[in-house]
Amino acid sequence: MKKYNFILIVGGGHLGYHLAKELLEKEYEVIIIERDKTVADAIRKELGDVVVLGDGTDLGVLKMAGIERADLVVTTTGYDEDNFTIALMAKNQFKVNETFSRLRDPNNEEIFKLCGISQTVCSTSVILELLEQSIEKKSVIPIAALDKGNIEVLDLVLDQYSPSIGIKIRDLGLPLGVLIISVIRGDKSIIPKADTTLSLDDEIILLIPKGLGDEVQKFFVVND
Amino acid sequence: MRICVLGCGRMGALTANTMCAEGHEVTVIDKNADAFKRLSPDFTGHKIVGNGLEKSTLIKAHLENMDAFVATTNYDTRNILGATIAKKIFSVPKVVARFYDQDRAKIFNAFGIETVCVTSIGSQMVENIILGING
Repeated sequence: MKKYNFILIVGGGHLGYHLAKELLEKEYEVIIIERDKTVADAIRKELGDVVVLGDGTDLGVLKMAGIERADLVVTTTGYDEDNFTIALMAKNQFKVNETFSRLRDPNNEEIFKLCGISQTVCSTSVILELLEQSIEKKSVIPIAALDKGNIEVLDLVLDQYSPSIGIKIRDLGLPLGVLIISVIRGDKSIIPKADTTLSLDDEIILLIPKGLGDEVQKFFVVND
Repeated sequence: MRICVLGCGRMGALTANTMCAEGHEVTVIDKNADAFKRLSPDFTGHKIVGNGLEKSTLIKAHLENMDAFVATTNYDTRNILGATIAKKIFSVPKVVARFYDQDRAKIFNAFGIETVCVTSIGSQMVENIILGING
């Protein structure tokens, strides 16, 4: 038993084409709507008679492609506004069970979800997530090495593994010459005092003698 | 009223010019700075160059403080997305979208967006003239 009887793909670019190709190999019934004649012809040559030439944001074209009997519509055009329009028409006008939508701008996920288009894929977000995961976990960013004198500025955020959480600044035992100049908590900046207790998610800005960076980091961040 | 017009084409510019002349506070957004040439020399509103479907542009335009939002870009789908963002995310009370395609206009009218389909209006007027009906 297949999960879908008839899948309509709108947009015959790389994503739409490869998706259709894979689905056809798995013996799904698939139609692609593509508005560019050259692209449509190229797909037809490769995949056979599975292409409808036309603008997929047009009601008539959607009907001609058989949207009324589709149980899944996948919108893969390169324009968020087109994917949004098609998915909304599929859901609200044609009562299609499921829609998957490609997104370009990660910020648009919110409006798609608010309108009931919950299945979205944003390659920008996916790559961004991969990228962030691959960045070292220690959350230390040296923001500047001051030109004059031997002082550096460190900006770091206390994560859940930080050994400094719940400890008063006085009791940290920081090396001589290290100065915490600001603790940013939520949207407030606190002038730190000796009895200020550090907590999770605090952002700490410090002035440190040059070369002490690694040593000072150990007080706030666990390296893994 | 504070009004935001998305797209400074012929219709966007005319709406902006007229409403500004009537004393409203108008902000116009267009991707292309050249488009602002369509605004009248007397236009005193705000001009923002940027993609009006991007949140950062709409925040710059202070969309959350607007009384009305009018989407008049050349593409129905851009107007649909822009109008929906204005309505659902920025809670703008009055949202209007310009359409060329009347089938789309009908559908999105049902979604709570005020739609103006220039094709239907134009063809109706043409018919009235031909048949001698005074609109």
